Amino acid sequence: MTSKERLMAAFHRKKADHVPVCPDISVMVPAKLTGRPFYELFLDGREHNGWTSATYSETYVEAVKHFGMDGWYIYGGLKEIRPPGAPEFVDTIVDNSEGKLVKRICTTPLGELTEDEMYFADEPPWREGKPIKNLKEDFARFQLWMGKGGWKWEKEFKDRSRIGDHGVYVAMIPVFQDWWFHYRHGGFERCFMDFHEEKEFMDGVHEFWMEWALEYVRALVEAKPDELMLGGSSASLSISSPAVFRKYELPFIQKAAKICKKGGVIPHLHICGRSWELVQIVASETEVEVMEPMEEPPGGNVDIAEAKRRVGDKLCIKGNINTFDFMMNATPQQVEEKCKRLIDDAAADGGFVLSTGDQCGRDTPHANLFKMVEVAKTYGKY
Amino acid sequence: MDLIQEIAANVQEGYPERVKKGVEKALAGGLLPHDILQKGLIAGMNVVAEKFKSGQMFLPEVLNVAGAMKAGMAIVKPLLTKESIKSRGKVIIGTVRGDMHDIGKNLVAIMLEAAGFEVVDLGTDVRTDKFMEAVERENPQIVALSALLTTTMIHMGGVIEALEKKQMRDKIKVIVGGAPISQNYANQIKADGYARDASMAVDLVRRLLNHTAGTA
Repeated sequence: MTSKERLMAAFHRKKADHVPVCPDISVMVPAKLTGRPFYELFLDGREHNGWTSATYSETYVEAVKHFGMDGWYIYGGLKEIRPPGAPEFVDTIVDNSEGKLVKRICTTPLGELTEDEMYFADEPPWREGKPIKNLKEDFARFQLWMGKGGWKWEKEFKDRSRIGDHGVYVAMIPVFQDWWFHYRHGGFERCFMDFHEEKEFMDGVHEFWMEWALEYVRALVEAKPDELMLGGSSASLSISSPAVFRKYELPFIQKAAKICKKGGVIPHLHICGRSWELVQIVASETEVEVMEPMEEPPGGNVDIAEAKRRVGDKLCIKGNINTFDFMMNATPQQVEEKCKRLIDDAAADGGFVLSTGDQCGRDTPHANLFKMVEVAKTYGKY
Repeated sequence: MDLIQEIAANVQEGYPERVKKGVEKALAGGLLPHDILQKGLIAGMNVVAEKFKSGQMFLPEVLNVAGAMKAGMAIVKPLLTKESIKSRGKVIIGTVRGDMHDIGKNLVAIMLEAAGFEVVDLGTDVRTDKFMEAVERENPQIVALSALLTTTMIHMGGVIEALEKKQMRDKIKVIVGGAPISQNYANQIKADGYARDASMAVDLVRRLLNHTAGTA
């Protein structure tokens, strides 16, 4: 079986030749593997339609080959066909002692939107300034940049061949809280204060976002990725709450999953950190078919054996080894023991992808990643 | 339900306007500011802290509660005598370099304040040298470091090393927290303590300061 076939079998809750193995190495492990300053990878100036760069996406595929793992390519997307004369962000790159600061300005008829993103040599980029600073004024400008409807995208994923049979090609769209956190200046507290203090206004923002997001889901599904991932890091119960999830995320997840199923694309939901309460809601109230990373303690609260028992007939489980405490510090022997236990607990009859509980840290020992792959290929044989 | 209990209940429900009105009414009725603070505002927050600790409440709801408590504190605090607001200790808190996450850190700051500690919040993306400047300026008993990213948590160790270099480590306790942090990691970087959540951070600070002469 190819890596792509192996993962697709698991996503359909069937047995592959062996348990697929796909630690989440994005984005630091592949970047470090190149030995190059990270900003060179991200600021390559090449055309690319995903959330990261063409060079980074190639770097990921090289890392997949290096570790011999099954690839989970989440770096692509569809190019938006912008209306003529629509306001655009213009970038200026400023060198500083830590790396490169990208300053972006978008001039709209209602005024400017600005954002600053810092690119480091040895850390992933970080957005220091986001466009929506003054909630109501900036959101009006933001809508002029985003457009208020009639969105169009190209019909095909131009980077699809990059991963080929080394893994699955995953289209991605953020859930509402991730989207809002991405554009709203300030931290999570600011976002929650918006939800609490500006309920009516935020209901309007959510309605606008839903319209855009469902249009984009339809476009992505028509382009036939292997999976459509709904990115929900900010919906994690380590940060948010079941009540916020039910209000802002569940209606979208239900609709998006339905569109995916109708279009023959696998709906996949990512919620890291504490997620067990949400896993159960998703399994019983949506048509989502794959969920990850079902993080174990101390970062999350999912017991994989219980997850298999309770939701294994509904969801393919991808997960769930802790990254910051375990993968960074464990010996390969300890990794082997844990992987064998996870396979025993969750791999029977298929529907399990051996993976980590979220992104692996930059300095994760390579021996631990190689060990995961080795155990899946040997002990995980069906 | 008496007025103080009503204030505590409105704190728990996260209603800032009701808390504000309740506090004003209580003061007009001759109740002591100290009693309103302790038996109304802080008592309400303590119930919420326990619910949060046991997983019955989540961060967004706790933030609403904190907002309600702060609305009441803003009225009561200026009326307290110097004696009744004597600090139980000073804590410098911040999210480390490269990390803009604030929610957990803010909640720890609010809960520490509610528990009677003086808190100097340095904000997010705080460089090691900024922590050191604040330590020299503020003379705290505790430095509390927060991080939400595996890439930024490494800077926690840098703050501890800087305190060691300045030979201040024996006078200042360092506590750490944030999603990717664990007791193992705290041990690795030689922090004095780790707290899984804001409520536990308050317990930790209380515990550490009880062992620090002259501050409890």
